[in-house]
Amino acid sequence: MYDEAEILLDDLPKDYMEVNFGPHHPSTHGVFRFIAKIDGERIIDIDPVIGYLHRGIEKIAENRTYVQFKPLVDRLDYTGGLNNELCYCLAVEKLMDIEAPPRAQAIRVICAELNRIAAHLIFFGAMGLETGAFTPLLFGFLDRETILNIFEIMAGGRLTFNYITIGGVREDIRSTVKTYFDKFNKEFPVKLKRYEELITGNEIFIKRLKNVGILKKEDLFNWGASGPTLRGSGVKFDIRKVEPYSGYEKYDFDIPVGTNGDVYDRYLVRMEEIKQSMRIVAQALDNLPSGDFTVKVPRIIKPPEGEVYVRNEGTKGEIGFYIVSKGDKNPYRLKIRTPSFSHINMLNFAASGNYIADAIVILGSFDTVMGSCDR
Amino acid sequence: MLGVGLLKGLKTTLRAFFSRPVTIMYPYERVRIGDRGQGLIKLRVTSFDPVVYKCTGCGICEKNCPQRCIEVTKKEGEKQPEIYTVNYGLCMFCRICIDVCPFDALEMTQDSEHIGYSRQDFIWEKEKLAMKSLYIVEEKTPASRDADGASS
Amino acid sequence: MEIINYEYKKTDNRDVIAAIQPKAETAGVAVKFSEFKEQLFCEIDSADIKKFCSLLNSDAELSFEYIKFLTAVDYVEYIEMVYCLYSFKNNWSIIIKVKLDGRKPVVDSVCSIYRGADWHERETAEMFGIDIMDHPNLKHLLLAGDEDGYPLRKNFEIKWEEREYIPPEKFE
Ligand code: SF4
Ligand code: SF4
Repeated sequence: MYDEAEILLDDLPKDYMEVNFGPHHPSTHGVFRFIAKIDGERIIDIDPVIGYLHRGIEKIAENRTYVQFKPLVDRLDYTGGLNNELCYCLAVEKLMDIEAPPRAQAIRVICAELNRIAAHLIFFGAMGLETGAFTPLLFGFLDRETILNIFEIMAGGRLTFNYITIGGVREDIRSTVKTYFDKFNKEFPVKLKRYEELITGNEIFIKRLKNVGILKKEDLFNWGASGPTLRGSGVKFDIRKVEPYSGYEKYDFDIPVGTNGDVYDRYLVRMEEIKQSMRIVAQALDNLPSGDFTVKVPRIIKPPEGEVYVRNEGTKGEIGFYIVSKGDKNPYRLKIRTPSFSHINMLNFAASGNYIADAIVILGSFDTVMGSCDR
Repeated sequence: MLGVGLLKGLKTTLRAFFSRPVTIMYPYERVRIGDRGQGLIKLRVTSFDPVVYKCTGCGICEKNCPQRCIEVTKKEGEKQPEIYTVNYGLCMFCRICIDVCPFDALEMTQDSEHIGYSRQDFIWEKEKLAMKSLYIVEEKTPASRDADGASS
Repeated sequence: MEIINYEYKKTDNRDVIAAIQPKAETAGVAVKFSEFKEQLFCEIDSADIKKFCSLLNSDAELSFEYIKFLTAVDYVEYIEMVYCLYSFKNNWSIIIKVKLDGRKPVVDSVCSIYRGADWHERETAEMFGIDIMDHPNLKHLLLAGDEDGYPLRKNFEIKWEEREYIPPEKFE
């Protein structure tokens, strides 16, 4: 008996152990599974398994008209639905050679930036959760609730809006939005400061995040990383500045960058982005142009033949829509480029060699959403 | 110094501890959906006795619904729908049907609750869709949401 | 780590063509340029894709170091691979197109040049049935692998099921 056991042990790969995380694990942000090969506490290799939330959205798009497909775009990255919608509408508008009127563009900017704040507040909560603090989650969601209420007044929905339409927005913005936002603008920075006191300056939090998961910019370029992940490593690159869309060049805002490229920098970049987004929304609401909120588009949307790739700065990074049109009611092919897909692709590279607990934090710092990864 | 951050954090926690609760007791208190909110669909009627729908049964909404959850038929020569059903088991409240209707026959309500014991209960007939409000909601709006932006 | 700043730069597609053309010629890649709505498309032969990508990536002046995405489009007679690259340094974007045979599509992997292309290639391979040569790990990514056909090909049809409603007492 004893000998047999020894032989069996010899067959096993030595030193390494395989640990399965997920698909239903709170730290994996949805239905994401990865198999980690570990040596003691250190991760040697990560094999991510995705596809649990695959809904075949690209195939569905080929069988739907441009307008019918639009509600599904919200469901990609469900924390930043309006950013996705904006990108999709810009892509179709580019195909059809139409441009939204200035008022619509300003409303779109308000939508997108408020949604960015909402998404970053989820990140703030989740980051706390990842490091073992539960309170930030509640605080983050509490303030997000105020933003969602504004969305409800303005756009009708809270998570899935179908508000931005091809050629403008569905309904005009309300005057009450400004009142609500002003109130929010007065209270929120004070609260945010308190929240930051709660975890940003906390020694345990800093010890957990500093010098963990350092990524160099050359690697990030090569892996196709974008958004705050890229900015955390000292790359001052923002599509809103470099390829301005929807009138972003009119607003005055800064782009925060990190200097170390570790998880803590990515966290700080996002927290700073919240403040910058507040600035943009305040500016946009103050200088709201008058005029139409939508242009007249044909009843049946039939873009001419051609193909476009349009990207914008989503809440997590570069969202892009590649649409091939053959002059039909339906897109011939629609490819969605999502930041989460590229970032989870990078996970093995970023997390190997770290401790298991750090791998969770690194995954959290990419702020991935499985709905946008699996599509 | 080690521990200062912890104490500062504790201050925030304590402040939250002594502030008013932000949650509401759901079945007893309810929040209203804003008037642009995505609720159940209502068929407009021009008169109740006899019931005359604004809908002419043209079927445009049926064709445009992305989820294919509307079913409309009409008798030859009539200007009223014979069958009009919405399957709320499939509907995603995208409001496309309301946007495309050329006769302005549909409207979105602020009722968001729909429950049933079987999947058949989610298929609503035209009579049910025309009813004003199915659930009598006693509204106790919390202070944080006292106005829902009804004034435009 | 020092901070690199990327500002808005006005770009002209003619500059991009002028920069790429001579370098591609020396490398022996025949490139056909075309423009559509301010986007630059390069059409090349399928055998050259790896050579062309490594040229664009490694050249210090061009420095297309970032891959936005890659995908394929099924035109029934042929399949077209689409690679979208970006150069941070110059704020240039190009879309490379490669035509593949519709019945037996084979293309080289660019994974060794752009590591970000890894999953995009796996996805394309399983969705279109394209054989990606030299890919380190061509497993199924999003699908379970039990469907017949390739979902994003045009001959793969979505079936709308007529749902039958089961009354609740039948659940027992
Ligand atoms: S609701 Fe409107 S679009 Fe639908 S069938 Fe009736 S009239 Fe036509
Ligand atoms: S709201 Fe959208 S999904 Fe629901 S019935 Fe109308 S068109 Fe169909």
